[in-house]
Amino acid sequence: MFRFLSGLGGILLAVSLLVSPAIAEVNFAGKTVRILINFGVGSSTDVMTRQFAPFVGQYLPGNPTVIVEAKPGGRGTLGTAYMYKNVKPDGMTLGGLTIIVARMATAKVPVDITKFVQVGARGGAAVVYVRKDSGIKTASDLKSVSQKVIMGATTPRSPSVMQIRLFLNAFGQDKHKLIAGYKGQLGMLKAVRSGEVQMAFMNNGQWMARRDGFTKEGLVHGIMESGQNDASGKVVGSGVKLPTVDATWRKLLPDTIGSDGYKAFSFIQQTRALNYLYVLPPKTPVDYAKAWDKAMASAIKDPGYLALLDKNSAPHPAWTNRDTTTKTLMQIAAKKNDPAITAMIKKISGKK
Amino acid sequence: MEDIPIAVLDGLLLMFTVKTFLFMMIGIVAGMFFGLVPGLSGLSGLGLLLPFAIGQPPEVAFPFLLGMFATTTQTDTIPAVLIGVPGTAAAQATVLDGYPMAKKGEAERALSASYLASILGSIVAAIIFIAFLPVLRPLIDEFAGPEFFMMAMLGLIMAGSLAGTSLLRGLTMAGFGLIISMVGFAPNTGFARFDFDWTYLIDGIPLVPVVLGMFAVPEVIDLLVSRSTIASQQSSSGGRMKGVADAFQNWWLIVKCGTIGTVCGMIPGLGGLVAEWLGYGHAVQSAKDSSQFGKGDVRGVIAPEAATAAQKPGGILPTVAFGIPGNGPMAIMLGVFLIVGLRPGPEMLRENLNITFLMVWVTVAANIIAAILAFGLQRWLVKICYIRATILAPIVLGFMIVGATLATRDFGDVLLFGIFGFLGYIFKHADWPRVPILIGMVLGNLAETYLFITVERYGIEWLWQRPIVLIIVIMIVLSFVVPAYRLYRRKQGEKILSGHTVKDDME
Repeated sequence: MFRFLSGLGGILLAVSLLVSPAIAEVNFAGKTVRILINFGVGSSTDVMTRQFAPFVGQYLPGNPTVIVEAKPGGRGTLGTAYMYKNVKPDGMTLGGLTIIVARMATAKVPVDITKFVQVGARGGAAVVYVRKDSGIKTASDLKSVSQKVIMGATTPRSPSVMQIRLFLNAFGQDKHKLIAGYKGQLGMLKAVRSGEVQMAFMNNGQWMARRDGFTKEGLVHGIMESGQNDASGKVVGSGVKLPTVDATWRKLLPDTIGSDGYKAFSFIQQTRALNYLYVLPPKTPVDYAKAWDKAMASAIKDPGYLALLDKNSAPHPAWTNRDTTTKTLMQIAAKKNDPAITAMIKKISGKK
Repeated sequence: MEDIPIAVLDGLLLMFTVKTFLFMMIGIVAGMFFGLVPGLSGLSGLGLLLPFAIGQPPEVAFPFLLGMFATTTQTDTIPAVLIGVPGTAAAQATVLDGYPMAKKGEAERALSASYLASILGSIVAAIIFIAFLPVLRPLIDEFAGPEFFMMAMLGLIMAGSLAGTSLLRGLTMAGFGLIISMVGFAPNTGFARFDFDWTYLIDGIPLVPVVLGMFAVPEVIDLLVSRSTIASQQSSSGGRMKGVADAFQNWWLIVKCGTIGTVCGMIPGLGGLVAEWLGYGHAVQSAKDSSQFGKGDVRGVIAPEAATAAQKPGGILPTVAFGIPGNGPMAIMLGVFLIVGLRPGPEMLRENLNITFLMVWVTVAANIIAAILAFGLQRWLVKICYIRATILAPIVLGFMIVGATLATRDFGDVLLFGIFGFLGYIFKHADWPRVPILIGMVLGNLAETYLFITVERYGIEWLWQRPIVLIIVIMIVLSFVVPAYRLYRRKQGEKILSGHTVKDDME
């Protein structure tokens, strides 16, 4: 009887292995695969992905053509939900989800992003810049300057804005002012140009592409950058050669390290390592995730891609692999339940 | 800047290189299609064509995309005039006089006038661009929150006061549009409002199903009920050349509206809708006899078309000079800069000035070429106005439903199309103007965003401390006072003719 059962079990195991998609051979030869992004055509995410996509195809098994499709809306949440609910788990569609980890950390997102099959991530950083006539030459002047500096920002619920508000609040509630509502980083730039605000931020890629122009024009200069966390969790610069906000905080306001404000700031900072999260739909065989992970890691170091970045003076990004991404994501999901952090985020976002 | 004449010529010559010209022509033909089909637009066209531009050098990629973008506002007039449905949001004002002209059998005249107005408007913009390039930057930098808010108010009030027979009704409908614009994320708090936890509404009510429902459904129902054709009169002979002559006769109006459009294009965030309404408003207010506006006055077609065509070359300036896009499609164009390895900003006006002027020339050339193509096609297109209702109505309705769902491909689009179709039918027959609702929807977000920013940043002092704000306030006041004064004069004149005066009435 035992022999019969073990034989039957063996047959069942063999059949299940045969039909299991987990061992499906990953080969995209002759196919077109897509990277689905959660922001619109022309957005920073779109530009970055379109520059990067052709190089990814070279490293995927079978060298498929890679196309980019935008599913914008709901500040990145609609594309994320589409990826989760509507995309087939066949490994043919990679989700490139920008800032969704930070959104998960600071607000509600319609799906559980930890349930995606993780592929890996790219970090993202932002540069804080000021008008030259503001009297701010370096980040340290934010503490010593006598007049109030007005900073322009996008929506108050944007994780980047929350982070910068926490930083400014650490100087005292009335020391500096933040005005939110500008449409994107270019809306903020327009406000800086007109003198409506003195300080704003933009992502490091955009900053590097414009930095020489800004220098020649003499209107604004960068004073600090967000930086991004490395695999060990330490905040490191993103290559724009400015002090990080975290380092500035530590240097200027050492007494406030350990405050709930700093804890919330550091928590949001941690999400920057996963600023561009790459995922496959839930239930996708893991071999596809491994193939995409390997291809993305190789493409990001491709000499052709790096030359393209150099042409725009853009910093060279680093790739966070699938295992580290999954680990970091789970840490962030767990930390979200910290009552002190939750309360501070609620307060800073204006949620009643 | 001393190299401007050389760059102007170099840009022009670049346009006539074989590959550039070929790609531009492909773009133009695609743009004509995107403008012609209600529901599609320059923005969606750019999204679809962008992948084909990647990998091309800048002198090919930009003419390809701009050729498409510039021509959508040429052909969006065709559905606006022939079936009363704006092909894109930038043809709303054109409907007001274009469609009544089609009903009178003057569709060819209206279309010809609009094509030529677009060509001349874009030429005006190119001249302003070249002549004033060195001095335009300070003007653009003068625009901040208060100016944006006031421009949105001006656009709303212009649309509200001009798009119907009653000022009160027009403004009420603009207010209704403002309320609709509040659905979705609040710009200054980031919290979603009135979305009923329905993800479809999280970004607000999309414009396309509303436009198509509100304009197409009432026309289709009326057509079916009448069992006749759109045009009640036979096509007037020589309509095409009459339209051309109309545009030349109104050249000064085109210059003025072209200037308005150019300035609106240069101010980031204002866009074509404000341009077309300011153009239309200017035509009404500056006309000696404005009694025929809204009933089929050709100037009501010429003015908004010149303004919207001029707005496109105007929008290039802030995009290349500051890296700040003048409108949505220019935001995509900005992405193309980075993809092809150009850096937007002041150096575009130094090292790559020829590419900047190539972009301007392409918008002008695209308008001319599209006009010639459309001019040739219109003899057949206007036959739509003479197709029996029972055949035309179901086809139009089918197209509109498909067009409505192109934006988000969600069932919500069909639902909105139906709801606003029903409302549009009621509004049309109750003589409540529908156009101000749309402008309220479009400008509502701009107005709300900058009202909050302005009050937070400047308190209330901005109302009397900023010269541009004061000029706009005067324009708003005039937009009320001038029509009211004209109405008073006309009524007084009519009473004198009928034998008694206003004074008699008072006594």
